[in-house]
Amino acid sequence: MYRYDEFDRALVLERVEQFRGQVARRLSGELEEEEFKALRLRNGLYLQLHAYMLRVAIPYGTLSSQQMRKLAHIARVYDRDYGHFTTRQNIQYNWPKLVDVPDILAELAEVEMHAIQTSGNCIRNVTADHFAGVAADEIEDPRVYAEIVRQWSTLHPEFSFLPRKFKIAVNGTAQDRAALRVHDIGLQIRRNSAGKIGFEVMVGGGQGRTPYIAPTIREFLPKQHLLSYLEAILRVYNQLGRRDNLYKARIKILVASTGVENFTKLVEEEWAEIKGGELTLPEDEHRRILDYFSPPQYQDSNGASKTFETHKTWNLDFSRWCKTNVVSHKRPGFSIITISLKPIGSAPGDASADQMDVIAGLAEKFSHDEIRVTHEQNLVLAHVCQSDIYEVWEALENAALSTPNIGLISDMITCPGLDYCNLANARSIPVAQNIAKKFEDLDRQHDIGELKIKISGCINACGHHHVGHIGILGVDKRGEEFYQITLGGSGAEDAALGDIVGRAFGYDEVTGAIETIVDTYVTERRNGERFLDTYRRVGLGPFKEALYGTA
Amino acid sequence: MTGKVATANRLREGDIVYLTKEGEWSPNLQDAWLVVGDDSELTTSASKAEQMRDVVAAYLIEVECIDDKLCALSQRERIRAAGPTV
Repeated sequence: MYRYDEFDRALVLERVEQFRGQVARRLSGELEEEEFKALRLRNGLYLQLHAYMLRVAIPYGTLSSQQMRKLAHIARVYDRDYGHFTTRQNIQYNWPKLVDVPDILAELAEVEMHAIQTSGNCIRNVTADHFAGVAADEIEDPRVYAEIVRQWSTLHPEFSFLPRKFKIAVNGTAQDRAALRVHDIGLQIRRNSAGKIGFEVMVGGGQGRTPYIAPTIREFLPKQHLLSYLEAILRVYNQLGRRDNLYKARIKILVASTGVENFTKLVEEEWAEIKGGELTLPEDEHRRILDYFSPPQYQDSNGASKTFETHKTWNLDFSRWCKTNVVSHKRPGFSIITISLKPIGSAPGDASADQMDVIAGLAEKFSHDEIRVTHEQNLVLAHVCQSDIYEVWEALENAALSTPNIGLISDMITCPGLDYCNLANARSIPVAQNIAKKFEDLDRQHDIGELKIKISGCINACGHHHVGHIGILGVDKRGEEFYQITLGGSGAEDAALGDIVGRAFGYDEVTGAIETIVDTYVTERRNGERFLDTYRRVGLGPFKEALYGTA
Repeated sequence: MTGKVATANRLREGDIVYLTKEGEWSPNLQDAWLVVGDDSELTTSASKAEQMRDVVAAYLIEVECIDDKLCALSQRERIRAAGPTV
């Protein structure tokens, strides 16, 4: 894992003291709310529906056991005993007091954490594949580049006041687990025909009220030019992005209105000016960061797979959990475990302080002291020897963390919605809970197979509904909650935006509508087809008919 | 009967509060000062409390008074008054 150097440490500590002073000045009246708001947002502190909300950065979703324990401690001491893991692989606390936030930030700084780049119109926390470094077909660990981008972008003076927030994701395998095409910039690590490693650069994707799938503007960017090319893109955006209209300020609107070809030309021209200059990745610095992400010293795993297979024959619950939550690791005898934060009836992405401590302990003992957060709001133990998996599962079972539903219908991305969010029009969490309860039967979930439902409580699309296989968008119709359903979206390598199926459903109707859609799929599907495959083959027709009749 | 009450968050803590007739801020909607008709006095009191830094983000909401109980008209404000539904 990356460790802070003296510059990182000094920067974070300075930030804490600055913010302590800013809070004091706000309370004494030296700062007006308008002035203070801009400052608190630079430190991840929002004022939400019920209270302040603090979003803490987890760079590329990787953290140590010590850091996880600190997150648990903060939940326990300063909040209501839980935290909420987000789609940017961060964590947010829903109930901190303003007067406590400087102390919270000071506690975070003790373990090299902070809330920088979790809010505001800057380059946000860079996300990466949560199986980084352990996926079998990976070209290179995307976190190395996410870290390089973090170092370049943190408090970058030129890009601290962008027209709007800016999100970058990096992925290193053929399977896209980082939702690249719905990012402002998506970087897919590729190897070219000469065997050189670089990036396919996608720009201008995004969700919100005007969703776009990002087009590729460069098929192959040699990796040493990463930062100069990013700087060129950001410069074009910083100059031409629409600062006059909040709804048109994201880079996706600029790319769409300029046209991909013209936009690419502008970037390439800008790049020609700075290419090969001081932003070229220095070989020794690249190697230094690479070393931080080098694989851990794996212990001997002789006989581990045999033990694992035996455990599976002993215990059917364990075996079923393995089917969804355990995947193969690049090293024989090891596996990657995904811990579901979607137990039936809970708020998706929430973990209690005690659960965080349990996971920290398991990571320490069984997974080389490392935990990952997924953009799908689950957690990952990435280096578990197969002979230990049963013991890990038992511990997870005791902590109500062994839900066997990864990738299934009850594993939903869900935004906080009207239960917590100031911007929301409708609730999301109870909709997810009702759907999960309806499909509680695991045999049924397994029979339905891979199905990604994603729920947003407003058009800002924090719940990624546009790219849900089934997307649910909460809207307000004359003071009542209604839900618009889209079908056929995907945030993966086959990225697509969902199609609206028809008129919206009321709060009490939406679970039934989802069941109708699922039943229609089960009737229509051919051998082995996932929901998405069936939808792509048959289109909206059968679903519309089942939901609304033929009239 | 429908009218308006003033709501805000306590600046130091962030808790949701409602302005009472006595000029205090209460966490309970039922303590709120209900104004029917001209709400200018309510607005003035709320913004004064903001200037005094007792509260932040003050605004007026519509409420209904049924059997002496105040109930916010919008779903958003009902959830704000009662806490998350989950």
